[in-house]
Amino acid sequence: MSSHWLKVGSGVLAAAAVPLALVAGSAGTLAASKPHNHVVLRVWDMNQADTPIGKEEHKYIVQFEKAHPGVTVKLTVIPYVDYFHDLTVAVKAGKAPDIATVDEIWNPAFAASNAIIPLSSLMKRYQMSSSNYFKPAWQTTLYKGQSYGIPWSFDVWEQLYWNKTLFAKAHISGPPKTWTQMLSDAKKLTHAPNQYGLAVIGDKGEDTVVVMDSLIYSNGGSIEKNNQVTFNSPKVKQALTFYKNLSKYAPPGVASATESTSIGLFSSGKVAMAFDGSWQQATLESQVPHLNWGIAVPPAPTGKSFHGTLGGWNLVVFKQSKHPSLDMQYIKWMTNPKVEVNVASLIPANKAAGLQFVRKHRRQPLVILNTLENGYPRPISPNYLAISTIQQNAMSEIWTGTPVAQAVAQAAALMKQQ
Amino acid sequence: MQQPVTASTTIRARGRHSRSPAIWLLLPTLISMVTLVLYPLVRGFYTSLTTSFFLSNQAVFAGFKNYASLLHNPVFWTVVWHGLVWTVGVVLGQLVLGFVGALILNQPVKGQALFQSITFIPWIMPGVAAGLLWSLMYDPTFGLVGNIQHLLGLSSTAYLSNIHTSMAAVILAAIWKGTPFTILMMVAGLQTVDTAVIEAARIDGASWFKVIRHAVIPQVAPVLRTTALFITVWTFNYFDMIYVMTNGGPVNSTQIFPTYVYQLAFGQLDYGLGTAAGILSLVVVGIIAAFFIVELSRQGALD
Repeated sequence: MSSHWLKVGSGVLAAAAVPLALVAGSAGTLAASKPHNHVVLRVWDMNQADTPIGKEEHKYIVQFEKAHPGVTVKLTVIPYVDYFHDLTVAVKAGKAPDIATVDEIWNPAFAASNAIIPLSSLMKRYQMSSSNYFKPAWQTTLYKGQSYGIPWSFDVWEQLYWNKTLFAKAHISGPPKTWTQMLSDAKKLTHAPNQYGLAVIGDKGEDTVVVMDSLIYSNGGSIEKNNQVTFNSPKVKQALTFYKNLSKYAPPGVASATESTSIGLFSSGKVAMAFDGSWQQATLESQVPHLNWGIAVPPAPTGKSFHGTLGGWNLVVFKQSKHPSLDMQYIKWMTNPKVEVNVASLIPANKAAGLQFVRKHRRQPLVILNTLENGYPRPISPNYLAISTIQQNAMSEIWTGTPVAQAVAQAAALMKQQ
Repeated sequence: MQQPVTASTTIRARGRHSRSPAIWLLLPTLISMVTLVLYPLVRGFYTSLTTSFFLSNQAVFAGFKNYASLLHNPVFWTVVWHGLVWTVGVVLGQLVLGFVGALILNQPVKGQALFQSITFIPWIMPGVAAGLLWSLMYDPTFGLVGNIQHLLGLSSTAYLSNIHTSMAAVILAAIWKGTPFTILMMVAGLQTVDTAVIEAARIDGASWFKVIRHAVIPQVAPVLRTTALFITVWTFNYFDMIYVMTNGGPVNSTQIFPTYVYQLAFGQLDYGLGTAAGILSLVVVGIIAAFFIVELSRQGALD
């Protein structure tokens, strides 16, 4: 709790009204602008959750249009599974929208390919400051020292969900704080095939990569640093050995277990622990209201602190847009706390909105703030997707019996070729 | 000087006049073929000869570098092998089960149409939904397959997580999804079978198996071959179910051409390499299709 954010967090949670009122006063209202000669602002967003995201956005779009006579905002909402494909194809075909939300891991690739524009000067013109955003979320917008996006929503993929009833039955007083404790608790909580210590995500997907990264970061390792591959290190090998050891106390099928498998196992009481983001809280509360669960900062190796992996969405302006200033005004409107708190698909990346959101919608907000503040982004690299695929394959190899050292060395060699 | 009108020039002129409406009528089809089939193919082939990444705005001509890179990559040959295992497994399964299913559903029983309609449900189900359904069925903790194993006193197996069982698991799911199409085709085929031939075979004392083999199959062979051609091409190019169920894993154990192409083009954003893999898959499926078409043509099934 020594961190800046926890101090700020607890204070601001109590007195959120003050900064919110200030920001709402400045950015939360729309001043009417001069009429435009019928401009269509093409905005793309993705839908990841059950709730139709566009519906909420439309309310604020109408307000924006009213304040900007002659401007029509055309919002296209695309299902998450198709979104990246559709966006890259649109960019290559020269049909990109003016504004889009992009996954933070895509941001550097879009910047490197010259598809999106740097926003620093526009931010200055519209008095937007990077200090308004959570720092880890802001970092994901940077490429070669320039900001290519405005963070919109984010979260950390890993908080430790723990089943209080199963822990009590096993006479374990609380969630583990170290990796050693976690293995020991998981062993005590495993009574196969009816109950297991924890759910382990391990499929060939990004949900596995974020767990890998989190364990690596928490052990002091990294994937790459200053454009140098640092994956083939003892710290990475230790982290992935721990990951493999955790799977001993997980239900069979780790190599194909996804995030949804994991939370399904947790919500059914089959496992006592699971790693997941705070977005699962609403699901657990609505689907298994009687489950007695809590969240905790996940454990770290003895003497080290936990670092989760960030996930989130940024708003970017595409190069093809003919009206970047207007785009920026739209982004400013959508990222002001008053609006963002209602439309963001995860925790708003704007500090004031994020704190308000966490306090209003999440259990144990201080745990969440801790993980948010200590979260690290995945490698900020234009080649991230290739790096991620290599990591996924390495973990698949490890699950199927390849020694950790061998899989890590192979993966590092492949990363160097990127 | 006026040219003498001869019989041959009259015929040529008449031919030209009679051909022109035909050309005009063919033109929309030709334009569609060129723009929707030929142009993408040629463009795709050109892309496969370039180093074209999402990250670089300029595609640089690289000759056959992408093809050489693929042919020297062991994963590519794994993909070729898996593509063949997957296609042969699914097609054989669908044909055998589809034929048997059609024989059963062709029996004149009450509610025949209802049974046929119910049987058709897996085929009309979206591939993504079918993939999710089978993933749940294979789930070692909650799935139907695991529960059946428990009832039999066996420990559950994570079929999709094991490199030795994952391909068989996805093949079985694809057979379930596609068999109704074969049933539909074969039921239609069976209804054209000359019953007099079957009666004659029975009077001659032929067993049920012999009747099927010597009297029924020869009569439905053209339908069987056409069905085999369709489902071979569809299966080879099928993407949804494997993508949803395993995403080509674990360790490429279910990686087939469509998932591999997708991974290269949209996972790694390497359009040149992805397109080259796509072109090579087209060559493989083209060879298979050509074999079928020649065979069908030889049998007169295309007449």
